[in-house]
Amino acid sequence: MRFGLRSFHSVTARLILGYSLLALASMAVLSLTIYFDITGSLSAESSVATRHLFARLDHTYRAQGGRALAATIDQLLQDGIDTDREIYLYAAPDHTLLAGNLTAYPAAVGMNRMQRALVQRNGQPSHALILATRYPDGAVLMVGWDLSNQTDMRRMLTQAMIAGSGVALLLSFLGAGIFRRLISAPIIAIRQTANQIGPGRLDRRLPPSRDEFAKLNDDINAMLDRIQSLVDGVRTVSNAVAHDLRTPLGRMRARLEAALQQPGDAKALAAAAGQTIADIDGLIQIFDKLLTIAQAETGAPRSQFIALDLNRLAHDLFEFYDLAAEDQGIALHLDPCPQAPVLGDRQLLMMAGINLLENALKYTPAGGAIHLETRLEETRAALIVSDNGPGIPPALFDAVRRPFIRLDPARQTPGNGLGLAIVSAMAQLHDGELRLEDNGPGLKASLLLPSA
Amino acid sequence: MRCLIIEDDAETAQYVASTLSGAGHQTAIAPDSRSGLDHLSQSPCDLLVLDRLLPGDMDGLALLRTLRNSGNAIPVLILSALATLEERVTGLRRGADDYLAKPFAAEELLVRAEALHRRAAPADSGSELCVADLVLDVQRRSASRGGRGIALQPREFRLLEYLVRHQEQTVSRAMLLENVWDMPADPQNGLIDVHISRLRHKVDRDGEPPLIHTVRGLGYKVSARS
Repeated sequence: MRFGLRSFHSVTARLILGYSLLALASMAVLSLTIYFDITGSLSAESSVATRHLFARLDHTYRAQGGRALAATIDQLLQDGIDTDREIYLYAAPDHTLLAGNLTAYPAAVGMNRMQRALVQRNGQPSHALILATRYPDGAVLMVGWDLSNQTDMRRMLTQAMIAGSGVALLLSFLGAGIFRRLISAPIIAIRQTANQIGPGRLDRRLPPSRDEFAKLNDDINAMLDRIQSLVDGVRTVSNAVAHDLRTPLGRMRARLEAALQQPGDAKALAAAAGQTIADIDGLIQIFDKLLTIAQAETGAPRSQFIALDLNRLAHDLFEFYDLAAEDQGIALHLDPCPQAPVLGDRQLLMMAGINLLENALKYTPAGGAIHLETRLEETRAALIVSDNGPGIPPALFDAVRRPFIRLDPARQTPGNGLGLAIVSAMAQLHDGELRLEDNGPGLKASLLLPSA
Repeated sequence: MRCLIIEDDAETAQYVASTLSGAGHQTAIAPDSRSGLDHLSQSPCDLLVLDRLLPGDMDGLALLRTLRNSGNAIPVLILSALATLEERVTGLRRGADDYLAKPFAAEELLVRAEALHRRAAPADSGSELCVADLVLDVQRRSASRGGRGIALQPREFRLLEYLVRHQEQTVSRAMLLENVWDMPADPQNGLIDVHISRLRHKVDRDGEPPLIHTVRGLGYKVSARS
């Protein structure tokens, strides 16, 4: 799809439509306001002027008679003040024009009320405001005010409104076009990146940006980082699964096959079955651990987390493992800090602790020592297991956090390379961190959790 | 005891049934929730072995809800391939009494089923528990054998108490982990054995008939019979 004006659904088309309607509406409101203000004040002015002149002439007629009225009208029409606006008519009872500037007697004009009428002024048709009266002797006096300037004003405003609307529409199109250029560039970049990632180029990222799209780009890039690490993880795991699961499966198959070839030997058959069950139990354990990691990595519901005392957890672990350590000739020491409250799931954290301790017990030689500690570090509480075994080369600290990574390439030590991966997953799930350090000699593993 | 097995996989159901009937229990099999509920309403049962993923509009947890809402307190052992801690917790919260993940060992199923049946039976409410000449005072958390006081750590006492409460009954290592240590059934084998051997050292002195017996490949049993 090209980013264009193809249909009403395109963002640009909708923007243009919206902007145009908005511009037209505001133009209309503005013009109408001005129009009514101006014509209103003009009408008021005309009306006042008409009444004023009428009163004056009325008085002249009543006080001094027709002759004086005619003279006054003539004078008013020659004084140069508003003579192009004023309208006068003095007519005999038979409608003969006696004075004034109307060239015909307007028959349609009613008496004694202000009204609009079309009259012939100096031979020209004229829209005017007229006030007229008929005296008892039959004479008629009309006073009026030409309104043609108001008509002009209305025409002018209408023209201005049309012109203004045209300009507004043009600006709307122009603005939408500029806006379209502005947004289409980053959108095209996002689409191109997405199109490359779809078929598998997971390493592609959006360019950095400093406008409103910066945050969007950052979010998308962070999401891509996470997806890439998950996909990498799946790849590592599937390779390892191929090795660690296929190997025992192959072994079991071979053993059962061999046992079947000596059908008479019930003892051998029983032994093979027993060993196979043990192997299957081992596989189940690996599956369970993988499921636990997967569950932790997808983020199990944190709503089930409760306030826990890390010291209590350490104490339970210590109670559980001290005898086993003693049996192996290893001294297990418990060293809790005064308080270590955390928010978490007891079983999951217990599983992390179990894996840390089993790891330590596995690699610490007889005569060695393991320290199980809790500490408060600023906003975090730590469960620390340190041993004085062979340790891990610092270059491998990151690698051992991933599933199935084992330091012994020949895989001769027991275990499945999931221990530290589980601890790391549990740490992530709790918004914490697994920190590995050189204990010189040995490994110091700290499970850091946000303090409650 | 009379057990109803609600399980859609015929082979698994048969395996469970033969395990339970091999130990002298009566069994019935229902392949889905509806027929299971029908069976429960017609003939009384002592234990329900329930699969979670069942065909039809009602899965195992929905059936469990129906049962508990209608006030039926029959002990329920869930048997499920949904094996993570979270699923387990969900199952127990919804009213199951125990939760066993597939695949499972026949003996493990049997000891758990029997333990559930015992738990449902009226419990001994006294504060003293006895096996032969071993006496546990639950209130004072003290133990003695033939008048000889036994000094126990708190955790050792809980372990012994659990074994004695289930006397004459095999308890698996996983059951001990879950009930005595409240640990996920995960640590390497052998840890429980270390604790048991320490406890045995204190309880069964030389010359005394042993009370704590190892059940090979499965777990332990406290019994007055040797």
